[in-house]
Amino acid sequence: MDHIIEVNHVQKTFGKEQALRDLTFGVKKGDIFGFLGPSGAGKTTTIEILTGQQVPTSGEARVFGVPSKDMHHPHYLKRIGVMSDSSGLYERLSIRDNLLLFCELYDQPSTQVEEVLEIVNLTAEKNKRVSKLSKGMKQRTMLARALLHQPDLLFLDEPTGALDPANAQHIHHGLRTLNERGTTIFLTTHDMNEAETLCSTVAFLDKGSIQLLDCPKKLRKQFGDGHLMVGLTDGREIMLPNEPASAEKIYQWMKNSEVETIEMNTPTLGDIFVEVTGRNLV
Amino acid sequence: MTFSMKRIYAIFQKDLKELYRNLFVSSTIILPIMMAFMMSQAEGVTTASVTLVITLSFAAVGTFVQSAMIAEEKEKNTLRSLMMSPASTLDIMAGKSLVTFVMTLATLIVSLLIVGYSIQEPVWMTGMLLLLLVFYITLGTLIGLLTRTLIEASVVLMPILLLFGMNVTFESLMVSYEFLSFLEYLPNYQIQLFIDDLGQRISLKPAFIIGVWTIMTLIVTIGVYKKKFTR
Ligand SMILES: Nc1ncnc2c1ncn2[C@@H]1O[C@H](COP(=O)(O)OP(=O)(O)OP(=O)(O)O)[C@@H](O)[C@H]1O
Ligand SMILES: [Mg+2]
Repeated sequence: MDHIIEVNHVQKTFGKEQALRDLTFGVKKGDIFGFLGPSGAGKTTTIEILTGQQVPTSGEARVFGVPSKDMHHPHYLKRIGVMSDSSGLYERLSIRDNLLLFCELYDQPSTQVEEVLEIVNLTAEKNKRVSKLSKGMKQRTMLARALLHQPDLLFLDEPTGALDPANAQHIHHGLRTLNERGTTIFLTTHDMNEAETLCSTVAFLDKGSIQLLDCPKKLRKQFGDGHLMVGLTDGREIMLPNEPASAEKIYQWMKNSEVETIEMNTPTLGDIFVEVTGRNLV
Repeated sequence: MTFSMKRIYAIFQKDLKELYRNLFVSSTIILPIMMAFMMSQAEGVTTASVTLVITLSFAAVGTFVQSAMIAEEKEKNTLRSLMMSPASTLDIMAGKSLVTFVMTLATLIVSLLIVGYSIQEPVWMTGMLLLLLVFYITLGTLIGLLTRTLIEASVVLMPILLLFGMNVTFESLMVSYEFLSFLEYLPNYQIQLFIDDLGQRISLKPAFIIGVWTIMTLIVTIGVYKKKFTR
């Protein structure tokens, strides 16, 4: 059993509304686990259950073997880091003062502040007041705060939602480094590229339960139809089965310098999601 | 529930820094100080005017600052971040109460100096004032727990100021309207009786009534907290 997150038949209802119908999955230590699903699928609710902010209506969730009802204990909270849009910052304080407060609360040396500011690329802005920051800067500050105490497990609810590509990439790099040092990461995202490049495992959540769970590369191969897509200089795009008979055609085009692109016709994660659920990933 | 001086102090420092930059809340100290100036212009210091300065300081600073800090933490979702850290609710509330305590005490001392009140029976007086202050700060905590935004907390301040912050008008009201005689039992009226008697004796009845108010408010606040915050 090397799953650090175990979710078994979890149901969650809010009044009449059923947010999670029957959720069962596990996350391995060392994973970067991407939790994907359309808006309202129950991603945030799942994170709230795993971080002790909500209890399941029925079923069982355990993280590091800790059951939901014990997740508010400091010994659990010290091991996890959480970032979501409902984690607020002190607007009248600077980035640095916000982080220093949490350094004290987590019993960390104040040198950690510089360390995490580096990861989120905010070193130059550290003395700015939070009220004066852009949305993306606030998001990066929240991420920095989640990293301060070097948690074993990070929960990130749409960590790069408000970021430009350059900063998203910088964060991805930081997250990979953390992961290499042993941090397990659980993240939700609507960005299929992010899921594909960053995650070692992805799960598709729809209608309150997991529809599919695997490594993105495998999924793409599995859902691929084994065709090649050849783009020619005259603008045509031709699909060919990946078999010896196609070699002859390609050979001819290549000889005439007509080939512009050749790629495997593998579906994107977004395509796969539509195929599995019959719905668009919004 | 755990308790850590280091975390309490960290929250204390944070809240002090925030208040310093939050004029909407911190400017409330002007109210009792202005009242003290007005009272000092009048002839002779009466018990009623001293009491007014005390209760106004406690309600406008003690109750309001405490409720505003808590309500704003909820409004801005920062309370959630704190609760996700190893800080316990006890740490958080203690840190805030300490800030409120220091601010209220400073306001009170300045106001009393302006009025020119010389304390009789300093030990008893200090004890009573501390007990009364615990009541006002707990009341602020309760309001902070029940309101959702800073604005809501400041709206609630109005009736609180009328009921618990003033007392000069009570006597005439009680004479005119019998059904208002319950006002006599308000802690802010009882402290006036206590101070009135100080020259001759230490009255234990007001001390007892204020103690009951404090304990009742504490019980209600803890109850509300448990209902709202424990899973
Ligand atoms: N506190 C709550 N009270 C009532 N209903 C809720 C609550 N939290 C979530 N829900 C409902 O549960 C469902 C799942 O919500 P959730 O926030 O988990 O979705 P999500 O997958 O995070 O969506 P998004 O991608 O838009 O963030 C929604 O239908 C939502 O209305
Ligand atoms: Mg969400």
